[in-house]
Amino acid sequence: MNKLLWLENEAFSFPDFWIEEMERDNGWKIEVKNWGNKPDNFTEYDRIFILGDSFSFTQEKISSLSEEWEVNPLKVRVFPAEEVKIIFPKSFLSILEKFIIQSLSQPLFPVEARRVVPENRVLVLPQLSPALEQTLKKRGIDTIVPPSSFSLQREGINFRLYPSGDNVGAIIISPLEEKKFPISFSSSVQDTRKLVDIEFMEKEIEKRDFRKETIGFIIPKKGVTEKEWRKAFHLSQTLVERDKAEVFILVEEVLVAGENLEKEYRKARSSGVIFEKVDFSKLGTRPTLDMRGIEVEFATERDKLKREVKVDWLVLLPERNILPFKLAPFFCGDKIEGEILPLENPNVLPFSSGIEGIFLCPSEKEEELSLVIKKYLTEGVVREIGRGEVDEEKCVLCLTCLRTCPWEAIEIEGERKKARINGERCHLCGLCASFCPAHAIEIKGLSLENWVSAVSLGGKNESSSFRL
Amino acid sequence: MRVVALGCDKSGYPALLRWGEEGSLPFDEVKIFSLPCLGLVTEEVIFRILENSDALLLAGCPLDSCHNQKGSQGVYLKVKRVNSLLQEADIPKKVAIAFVTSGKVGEIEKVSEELLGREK
Repeated sequence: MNKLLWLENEAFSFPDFWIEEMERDNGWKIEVKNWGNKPDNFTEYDRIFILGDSFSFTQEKISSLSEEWEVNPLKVRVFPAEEVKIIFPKSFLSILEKFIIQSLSQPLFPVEARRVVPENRVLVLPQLSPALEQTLKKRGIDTIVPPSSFSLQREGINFRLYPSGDNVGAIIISPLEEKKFPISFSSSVQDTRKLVDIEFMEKEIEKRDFRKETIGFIIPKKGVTEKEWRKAFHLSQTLVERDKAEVFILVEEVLVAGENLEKEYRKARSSGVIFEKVDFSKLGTRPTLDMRGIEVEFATERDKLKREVKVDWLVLLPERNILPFKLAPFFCGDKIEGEILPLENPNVLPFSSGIEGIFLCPSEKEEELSLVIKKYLTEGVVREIGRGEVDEEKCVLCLTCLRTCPWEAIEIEGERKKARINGERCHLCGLCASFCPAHAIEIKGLSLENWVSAVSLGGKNESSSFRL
Repeated sequence: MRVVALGCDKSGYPALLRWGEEGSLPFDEVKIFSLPCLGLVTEEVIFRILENSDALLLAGCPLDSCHNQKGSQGVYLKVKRVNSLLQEADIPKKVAIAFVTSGKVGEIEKVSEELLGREK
């Protein structure tokens, strides 16, 4: 008799009669618990099913739970109950039953979820700034000053520094930044001396008032920090409220993703600051005839007709671009390709470069970065050991897997010189298996058969949704 | 049209679910599945799925910021190859790929229009 555990949440729970019906029809012993009332011992169950909210239960999350519960990760399956209920409510019970049957029919390979913790020490390249040094020290993270000449090599989840032989758990790159203005101005516009930066305006506002003057701000989309947005909202609001000045802010996009930033934006708007969304490529400027101001020509997103506004001051915020950093020359033997640049995917770890253990530190983000690094260095990552396997008989040592693996998880070793997957580095992306021309690599629990059988479960006329 | 949709659990699957929940699916039937990374998808898997469906829709991380660096790139090449083989063999089935971040369904809508042959 198969003993099954279902972990349900508040948003979704099983009606009792379903359980009884499934137990009776299939000869299972089903225990239903919720997250607050989890069993102490998970090892006694043949399968552990998690109900609902499936995008919270990614492969990484399942590995982490398996490690905590000390069970084989292949035993843990997530049934996306909410989604099935919403998208295909009629066939819910039959889908659920088929899902259990399919899960029970899959073989259980010996796989172990293991936590791998990196060394509590970092290397900062190209140079360690005092601000970063201070914040890392505050969080108890050791730093290594890079010697004048060195090379790096991966060592499990760590990096080994040569010639000293020291291990570091992470590498932080403080890239160089370049400041440039989003649009170019003619020399005659610059001669008016009315084109200023935000720091100038911040100082001037303390010295004098701008009574009844018109002030325009130009704020680019990229590379403007939260602090600078906050400053722009505050200054513009002061100019309107204190000096009764007319202020408009030309933007491509307003950043409000920050603590209380949206509130400050709303406050500035309600005080009378005008925000206009414009296309910077179509923005034009020229000096006024008396050279005491600047005429700004722009078309807003709402109204495509061109407008012209005469301003007494034009305040500019520069665009800050991170210059790419080449890390490849520091690595001996390891495959680190291309240039390190920040990733624009909210689903990856913040400040991640896309390469495990290598982080990017933009200026003024030292505090946030140090929190991410601390978490990474203390909690480490959970990896499934034994999930990926190379069939030595089939492997022809073509090295396709070695070239394909983004995580450097393939090692060539043994007397017969065959490929092997290092479970501590493997992220289960499956690229090696999908590119192997000899079909020698298998990621257990994620093979073609599992896929196709899961897909065909829905039947010809029955819509269904499953998590593989 | 019967469509199978596969999404990586980092980006594609949440976006596919939102697309499904928003309700105006342009197909007769859609089956949505999640997997750790699109890099797992092989040509063989694509053909096996197409045996029982009219089209395959893949959704994964953006090409330059894939969670597994090259997962989306790898499958993109395979999709191109499979589509050219299908065209060569005159099989009226299609595979399309949408690069999304979780919760953004616009790209999936665009790709589903492509699958229906109503390119915008």
